[in-house]
Amino acid sequence: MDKKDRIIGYIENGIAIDHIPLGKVWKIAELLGIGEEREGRVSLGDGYESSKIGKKGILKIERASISEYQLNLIALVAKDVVVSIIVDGKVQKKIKAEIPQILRGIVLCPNANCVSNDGHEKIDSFIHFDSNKGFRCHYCSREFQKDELKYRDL
Amino acid sequence: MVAKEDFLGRDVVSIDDFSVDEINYILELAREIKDNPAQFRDSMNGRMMSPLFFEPSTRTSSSFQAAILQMGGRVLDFDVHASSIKKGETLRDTLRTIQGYGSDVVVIRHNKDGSARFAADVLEVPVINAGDGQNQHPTQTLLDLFTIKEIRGEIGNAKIAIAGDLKYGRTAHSLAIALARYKNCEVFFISPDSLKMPSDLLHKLREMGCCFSEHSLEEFKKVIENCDIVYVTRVQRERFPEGPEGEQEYKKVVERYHLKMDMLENVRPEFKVMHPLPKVNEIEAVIDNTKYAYYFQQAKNGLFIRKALLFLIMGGQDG
Repeated sequence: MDKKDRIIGYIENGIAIDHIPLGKVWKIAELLGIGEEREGRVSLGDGYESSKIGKKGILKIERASISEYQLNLIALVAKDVVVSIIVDGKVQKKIKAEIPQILRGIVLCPNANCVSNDGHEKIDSFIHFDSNKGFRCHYCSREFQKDELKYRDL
Repeated sequence: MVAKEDFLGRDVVSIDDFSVDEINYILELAREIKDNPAQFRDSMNGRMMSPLFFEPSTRTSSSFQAAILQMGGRVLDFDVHASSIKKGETLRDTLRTIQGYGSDVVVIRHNKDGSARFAADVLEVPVINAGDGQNQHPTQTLLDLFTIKEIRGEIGNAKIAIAGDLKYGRTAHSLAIALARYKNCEVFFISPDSLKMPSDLLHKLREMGCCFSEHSLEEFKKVIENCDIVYVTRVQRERFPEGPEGEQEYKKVVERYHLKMDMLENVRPEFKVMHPLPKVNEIEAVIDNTKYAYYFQQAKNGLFIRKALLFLIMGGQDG
């Protein structure tokens, strides 16, 4: 990582998410709960030059404690994003984000009449994902693709 | 090989929960129950069924109640409208309350898609879906298959026309998918342009290797002349937009969508008309009294299918 990148924040310990497609960094930050009160600094940048994808976004979160499930939610927004775990200023591990097989409470079923979308019942959404078939609601069995994804208000 | 024990304690949420062999097993048991009702008279002794009908459904509800009562079981009278809906209780809480009363099976009808699967997840006792919104109504599909088998002796190799509201019609969708699982069935879809089968369903049928074709209302007479059965469904006013334009479109469709007696002049001698009921005006009344009408027998068959399911799920003992 060169000095120019460090403009958006050097972190000693935490996670760095790089090569985020332009404009997607905001949604990823939202999915990871950035904005809520937390310890450590968060750096978020968008529109940086990238030799791989033209323009890119970068997100760095200091002293982050993020579950594998949360990391995998990133794959919903942008595939092929790599998450680096930084320890003592060095990349300790790189994880490729993959959409989890079960998504609970984050992604909404696109069927407005689904029981999981009933405000009175307060039932968490329950979506199955299969890389070949796409998404399927556990309750109403509605099958859908990525372009129909809706997120719960976080 | 399918065995009686395979069904013990199982939920019946979707017709897809059963393999074709399991469906055939249920149909055979329903046949046995229809032919020898006395043999099953006390088979549900001591068992209690809790019907939770959040939506009115006289036929399905009565048929389930008759089924368990005629086999010696009991029904828990729980009025969800008076006790739960009125007080704003959540579905989850109502389900837990019912479970606490010692029910052996819960039969649920609810206006929300997926509510039956949710109930099955919440409850430890088996759940039978008696219709969840526009989604599934597996006992209707089973009784339709039972009736087709009763008419023809087999389900495979059938030529069946499905007519009416194919866009929203839950029974039409489930039946088409179920038929696609049997060998050599040919399905003819007849509908107004605005109520054609959804494209994702046609895609699914294609993937399943189902032989089907789509037809306009003008071809109604010609198509059924080549079929064993026509399955007529109701076109509902609420499927059209509100206001005068929607009303006009609805009236236009209803006028053209009408199975008349003279359309049956060249059908096969063994041809039958099925309908999930209630019917309104899509079938000319005079057809009711002909050899072609089979919808009242079809409705009656619901009783035997529901008996068979209750018997299998609760491990009934036949005499």
